[in-house]
Amino acid sequence: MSGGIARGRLTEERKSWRKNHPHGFVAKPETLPEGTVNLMVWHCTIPGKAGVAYELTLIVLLFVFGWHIYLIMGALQTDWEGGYYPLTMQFSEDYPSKPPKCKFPQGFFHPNVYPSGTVCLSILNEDSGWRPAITVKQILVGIQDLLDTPNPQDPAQTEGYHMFIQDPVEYKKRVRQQAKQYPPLV
Amino acid sequence: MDNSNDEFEPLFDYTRVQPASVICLDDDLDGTPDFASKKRRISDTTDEKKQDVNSKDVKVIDCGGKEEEEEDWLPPPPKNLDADSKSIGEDSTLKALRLERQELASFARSADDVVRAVEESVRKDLSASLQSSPKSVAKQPVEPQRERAKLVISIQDKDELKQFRVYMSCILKLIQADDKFERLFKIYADKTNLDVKNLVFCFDGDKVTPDQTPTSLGMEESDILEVHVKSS
Repeated sequence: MSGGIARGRLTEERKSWRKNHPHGFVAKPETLPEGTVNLMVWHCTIPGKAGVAYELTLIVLLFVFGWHIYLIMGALQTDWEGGYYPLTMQFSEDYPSKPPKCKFPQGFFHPNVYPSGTVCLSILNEDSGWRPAITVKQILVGIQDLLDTPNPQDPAQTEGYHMFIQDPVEYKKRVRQQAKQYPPLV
Repeated sequence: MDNSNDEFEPLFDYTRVQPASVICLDDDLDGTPDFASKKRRISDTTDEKKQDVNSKDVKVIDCGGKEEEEEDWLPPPPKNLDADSKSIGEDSTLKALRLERQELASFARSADDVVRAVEESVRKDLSASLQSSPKSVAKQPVEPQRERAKLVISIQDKDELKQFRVYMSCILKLIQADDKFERLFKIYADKTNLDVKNLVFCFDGDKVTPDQTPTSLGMEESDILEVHVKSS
């Protein structure tokens, strides 16, 4: 019966996604070779955050604080822009009481992504931030946020974490390099 | 003379019928105009009367000015006074206004007549079309099918926060599900003043080509097409 609940919820999620979703995001259930749809596995794409939001806040802050704020804001611009990162969501039969497992490709460079590609995020943790009301859209936007603002309190891979802490310049370079590895699909 | 006095009586009534709390103030204020009026009533010449009117006006307005700072409800009396003194002028303007109103009323009546005439003609047309029912019956079964095949698809822009709403209102298109996307792309490009060649349309992460149709993509009501503008 729980599987029925999961499928019903996923059908609703898909329906609402088709009607409205953030630009550049993709989220669709897997289509098996024989043409049937597997609702339990979704193939998603998360676009790297563009710097536009920062540009807008920058303009406001310039009026308030003056030109020196430009240097600070410049450092905050996202290096993830231009990349369209593939993510697989695996839903269990216990969804939505348990969160889906979200995986980037193996070896994805990010302090909070395990070497296997699994995303480490509080809202995806059954024991901390997950609530059954969290939608697929909220998960994907949450992961997009995480890309740009890693959480050093909760590292999941050594390479990304050390570089983020010790060598910010090299970290930025690496992130931009990775963005080029995942160009837009179209 | 008497008439002019009558005209001003309401003013004094106004000031006397004030709430108890303001009485001390009113006594002072009432005092001056009363004295002035009594003094001037004694000297009865028409010219002076005219001056009276003016001087009373001025004084009353002054009182109003003082009280305006303290009380909100007193200003009306001086205005009425002014209106009374200008009553002759206003009568003519009132007459003009009444005339205008009558003209407008007649205009509205004529407009009503026009509307009725139009309604009648429409009814005649309707009855005529109903009489030629055999033809319309043949047409009707075709039209509902077309309506069913229609889809509302919205096109989502990159800067959705700013432009999405605008595009929603003007780009929302009822397109027939068998139409090729080519037409929709052209309409969108025209509306946004962009070259179709620089626009990439996506559905569910896949590129949409101009010769595809909503049915071939399995699109449903209120699905979203995303637009990406090529940076070239």
